[in-house]
Amino acid sequence: MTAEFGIFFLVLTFVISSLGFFSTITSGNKKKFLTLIHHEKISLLLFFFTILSFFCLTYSFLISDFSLNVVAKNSNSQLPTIYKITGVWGNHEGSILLWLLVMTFFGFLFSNSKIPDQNLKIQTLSVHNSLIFLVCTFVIFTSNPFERSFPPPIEGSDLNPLLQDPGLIIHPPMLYLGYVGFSIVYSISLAVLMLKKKTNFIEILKPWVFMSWIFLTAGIGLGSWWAYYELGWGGFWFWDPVENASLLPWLTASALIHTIMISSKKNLLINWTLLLSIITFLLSLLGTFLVRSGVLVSVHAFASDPTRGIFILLMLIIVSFSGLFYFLRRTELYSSKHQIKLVSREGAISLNNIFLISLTFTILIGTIYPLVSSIFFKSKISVGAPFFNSILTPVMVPMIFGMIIGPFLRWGNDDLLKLLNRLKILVFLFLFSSILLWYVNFGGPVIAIIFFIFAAWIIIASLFELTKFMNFKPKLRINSLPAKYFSQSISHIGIGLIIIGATGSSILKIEKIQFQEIGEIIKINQYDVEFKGVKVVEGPNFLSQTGVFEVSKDDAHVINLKPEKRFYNANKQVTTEAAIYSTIFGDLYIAIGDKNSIKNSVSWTTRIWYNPFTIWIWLGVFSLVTGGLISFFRVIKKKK
Amino acid sequence: MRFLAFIYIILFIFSDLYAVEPDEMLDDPILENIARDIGKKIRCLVCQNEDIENSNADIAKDLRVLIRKKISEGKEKKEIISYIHSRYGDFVLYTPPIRSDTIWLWVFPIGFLILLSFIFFRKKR
Repeated sequence: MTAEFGIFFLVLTFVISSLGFFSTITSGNKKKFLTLIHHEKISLLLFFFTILSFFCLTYSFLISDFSLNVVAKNSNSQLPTIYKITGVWGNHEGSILLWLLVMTFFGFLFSNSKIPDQNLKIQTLSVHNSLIFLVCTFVIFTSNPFERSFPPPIEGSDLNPLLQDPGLIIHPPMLYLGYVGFSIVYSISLAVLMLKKKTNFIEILKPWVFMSWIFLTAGIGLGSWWAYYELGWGGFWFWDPVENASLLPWLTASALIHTIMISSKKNLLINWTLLLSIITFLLSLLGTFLVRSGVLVSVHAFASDPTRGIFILLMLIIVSFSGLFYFLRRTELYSSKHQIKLVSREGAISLNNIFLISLTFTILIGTIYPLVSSIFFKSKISVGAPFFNSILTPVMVPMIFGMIIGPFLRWGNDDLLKLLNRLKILVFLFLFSSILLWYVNFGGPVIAIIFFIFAAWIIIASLFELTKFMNFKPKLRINSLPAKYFSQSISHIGIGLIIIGATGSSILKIEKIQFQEIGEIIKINQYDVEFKGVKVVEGPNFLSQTGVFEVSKDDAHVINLKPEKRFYNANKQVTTEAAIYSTIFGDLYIAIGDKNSIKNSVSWTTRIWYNPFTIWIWLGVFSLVTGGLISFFRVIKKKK
Repeated sequence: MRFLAFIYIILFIFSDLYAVEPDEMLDDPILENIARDIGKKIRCLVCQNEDIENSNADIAKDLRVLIRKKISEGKEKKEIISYIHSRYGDFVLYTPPIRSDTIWLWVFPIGFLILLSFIFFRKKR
């Protein structure tokens, strides 16, 4: 019965959101189809019914109602309760429902926020409810999570063991909060363009942009962290289409965060702010739905479920056409006559935008090229990590320089020589740190040292910028440290930390793969790793083959690490659980394989890595999020 | 339950989740590194989206062994890659070969970069 209620609430959402759709279509008319109060009520109802529907699905998972296809395919009666709940969004149908839920939640939030301009609020809500209408149509007609099968199976086939992990509890919702947050950003921008509104909208846009960017950053960071410890070979970024799909809107959102600053401060690049707002949501949509439909991973997904693919295509066409159509029609209104000089603050931010957007475009092309090429050229090609890595470096270098110099440049017009004169101390610090790093060099290749130097420059420059606002006499006091500079510095430091971590864990990685006998000691970096043996441990819904390793350093015991190999009962799948010992200098990462069947002695395949500075990646992400949060709260406070 | 565990481990004894096995590796770390480097550029043909270094499929293992055999024979990196390319087609390469149908992969981004720079820094009347 619960499932019937679920679909009933969904249909209610569908019907009510169609009001928003009609209101958008008829928004050209003098006489408004709906008033503001109507719209606010609609947003409340949409949220209310979607959350009820979502609860119905969650309940079906909790009671293991296997008559629902989704539950039967993605759950199991043995599954721990927490994973029964996260299983709700561990599949296509449920995750699209979660998407819808987040969308209605943000609509509800927006309807409750104070917007001085009533017309803008009405228009934004009607655009947003139209988007909800489209997504709801998609859920009901192509991805209904409440579909039943008869007779119901006795047991479900279990949630993919890779997804039975704490990281997956928060990663997808976080990412969706980011993606979907941009639907509000899109709606506001489209409403602004439709109403030809010229002023006072950047401030309305700002908190939503920051909030969505924060969630997206955290979501990607969590996903990367999950991949690092769960996929079992110590990598953190694989350039998989799924990852690229989340990176694309993040890149344009990061560009947007920079332009929105100039837009609000200097009234410049307003057309870019609007365009990026629209494009970021388009990329979120493209990413999620392409990944969800399976088009990117396998070309055959279109053929297996053509309705889903065609619907996605239609939805993308509607949303991007309306966004870009209004942008192109109104672009004259928002373009300024101001000439941007390369050597100036706005020049640096423009450079940042040029490279970020080009990078986005390149990754987009690389991600969809195999699909395009199979359609147009009938050729089956692959585009993977080596391609993306090769384009990343040349783009990173100018961006790093922009990031270092940009914050010190003056608005309007500046001079590089004068800048150098202003920053004498900084230049000295740069030279000093470079020589120091060159001397220390961590035994790595030149490329690693260069990246370390760049990262050090970013961090030093960001810290240096803060000293402008500090008063050292008579004692250290932070003189009205402006939150804006603080958030900018912290975010840039975050990028520096990520560069260090990524360089360390990819280029300086040390690897030992061997058949390790019980009692045998493997030396890696400064650690002695002794293999103590393997035991079988019983988990709630799996059996674990747990290896025990004693790690010591200079004959002093450090830690016991217990990597596992798990055999899940329900679907006979095997996963690895690496054991990681993290320090600030690097991670000791151990994974256990099989018992050796070739040699006579008792030995197991063990894989031991030392990944230098990996933890700095997560610290960097944390730093980015912190920077974002500071900006977010500043904007919120200012609005009140 | 112990017995079940035993059965499971027997059943899965050959289903190692990882890639490179210790007995596949070359003794010389420099040559092994070259092999890794090549392996990262080659896509596993039967997996979702993995290079052969990180795949546990049989075909990936065969290719890994083949690459190491060729290296031991003194073959160059380029030779080995083009040998695999000629045997398995374009799909196996993670960086596609530059041809009339793939050149756009590089032309579009560069063109886009130039276009954007022009838009941002163009002289305004």
